[in-house]
Amino acid sequence: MNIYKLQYTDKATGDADLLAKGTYEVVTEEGVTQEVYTNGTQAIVYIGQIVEIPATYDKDGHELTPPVYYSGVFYDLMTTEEFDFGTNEIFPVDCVHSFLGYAKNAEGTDIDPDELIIE
Amino acid sequence: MANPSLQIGNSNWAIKESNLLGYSTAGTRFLPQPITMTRASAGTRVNSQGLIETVELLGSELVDCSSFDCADPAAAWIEGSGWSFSGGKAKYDGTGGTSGLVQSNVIEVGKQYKIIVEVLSNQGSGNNTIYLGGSVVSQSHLAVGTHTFYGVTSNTNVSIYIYGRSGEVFELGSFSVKEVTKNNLARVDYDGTASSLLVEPQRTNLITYSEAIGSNGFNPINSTIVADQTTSPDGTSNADLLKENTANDTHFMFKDFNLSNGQAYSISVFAKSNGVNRNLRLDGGGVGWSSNFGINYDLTNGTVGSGGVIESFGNGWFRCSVTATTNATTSRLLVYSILNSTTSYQGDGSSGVFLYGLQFEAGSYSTSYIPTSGSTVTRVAESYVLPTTISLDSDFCLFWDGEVLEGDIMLYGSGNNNSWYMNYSTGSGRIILDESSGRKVQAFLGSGSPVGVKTKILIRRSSGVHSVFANGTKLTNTVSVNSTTTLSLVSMFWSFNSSFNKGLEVNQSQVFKTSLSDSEAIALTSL
Repeated sequence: MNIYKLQYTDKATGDADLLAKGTYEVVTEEGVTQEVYTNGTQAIVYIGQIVEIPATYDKDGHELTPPVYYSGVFYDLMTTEEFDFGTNEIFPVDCVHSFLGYAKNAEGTDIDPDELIIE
Repeated sequence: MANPSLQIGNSNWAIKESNLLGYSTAGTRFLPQPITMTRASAGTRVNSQGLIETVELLGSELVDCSSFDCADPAAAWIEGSGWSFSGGKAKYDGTGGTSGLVQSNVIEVGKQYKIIVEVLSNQGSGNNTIYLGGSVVSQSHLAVGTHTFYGVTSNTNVSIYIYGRSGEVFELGSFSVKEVTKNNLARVDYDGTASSLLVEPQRTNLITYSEAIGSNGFNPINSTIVADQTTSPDGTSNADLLKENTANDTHFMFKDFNLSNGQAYSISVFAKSNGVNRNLRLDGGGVGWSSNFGINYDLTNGTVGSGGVIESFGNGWFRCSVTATTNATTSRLLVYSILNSTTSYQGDGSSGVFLYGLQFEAGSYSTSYIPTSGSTVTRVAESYVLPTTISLDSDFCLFWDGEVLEGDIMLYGSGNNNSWYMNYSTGSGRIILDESSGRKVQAFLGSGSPVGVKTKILIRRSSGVHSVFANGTKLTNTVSVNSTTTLSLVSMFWSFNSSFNKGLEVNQSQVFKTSLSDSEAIALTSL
């Protein structure tokens, strides 16, 4: 199993790249359009923006300082296939998202579920 | 006998639910079929003891003399200075400095293992580090009791180690290591009276510490979040307490979440009252929700206000959940300890509500618990397909028995794309069979029903004519088009959804390559 950590400038760009690479397709059934995983995709997780510095609040819940985000938006892709995402693929050392049963920082190619630590 | 059938008595079928009565492999009418189940991640369930657990498959014991009660434990173990064996115990007397108990050639590189350590006594506070090969799986002082760890070694060291510390007497009752598999395992879920196959969509728990709730950055107001205060629904002492102070005020914790605008989210938490008439309230705080929620959960009587869901898990625990839709990219969650239904009250400095398993997921209902520890976590969708396609020729019956947890579900069909499918929509009660050439049959089970209601459905095709049965009744067709097209059955259930499956609890799934009579279909679908 492969897990890719991906970063794009925005969601439209990310969705378009994942669609172009064949990780999912758009299917219309009974007038309802949905995204369906294809070609070995097990999961696409849109993480969105990631907070770098959390907001702060006073005791009444009023925001004192807003959160600071890393640039762009982020995805995790789990697939049986291998892809070249170029500079969109990143290798974080302290991941904010993981898959149940996999190590928190599982990333890159050739991840075998049995080789990973349950935390 | 080309197509055998089993009959007992005067034209009565022999039906034994839960266990197969018998079958013949001769002929083509009734054959057991293997089903390939996949889920590329772990998953949890409620086991037959009512405890929440991660579904796992364990191998045999890999440690020789794991309970130290064999004839010669010293032959199986390599004991460092200060270690000895007697009476089914391994004892470190504290005289050997940091000293290990070791067993060689236990594990294989790259495999995943479950380690269970029973500690009978332990002095001091030094770390009793456990190594699985070259990897540390625990680096803490082990209190008396049973401890479970998971780990893997990625180097060439295939031994196991546990260490006693200088001057600290340390006694072990057992040290177990078993290979463990967690992915691609079906989940049989228990609700206290019955069991069913749990099939769920992809979901992500956005809470980064579902059990160490105080680590999530919640802001406690007139309260504190105290870790590990009582036994949780997983049977271990890891439930936290939202503890009120002595202020005559509100007592709660809150946090703002970065979410998608216009998306439904479901929030759930296991809660238990601690103190007289202490209950739980989940509140949106009027920040970021299209329709604000404020739900009181009675943790004594198991009741809930409008819009909330409460489910008993025994021992005073309830899973409390609410679903709401965002209208901004920042939305707030407040978790209150309340007195009866009053949010502002004189606290006593010790009461409050126990909390465990906080979950925040995009979706219209809460799914099974997804534990997290330091990141958001996704449980991948389950898939059930037939490795060998079944050809449905002229006559057949498709029978399904279970609960649909979301509104529009595909029960049988040819795969992910539109070729043919059997569909059930709980919202309207509509049951259909569509082929690529169009709808062949449509009928309605009432005007719809809430999700999560047990339903039995059967579609029959006999000499090209379709009939629909549900909950012991033959329904009136509102669409009926004859067809004898051969259908290829590939998938048992999936959905129009980016993550394929919606939520299901399945009790039975049967395909008959023959048509049943009306009375047989009614009997089979009766609740």
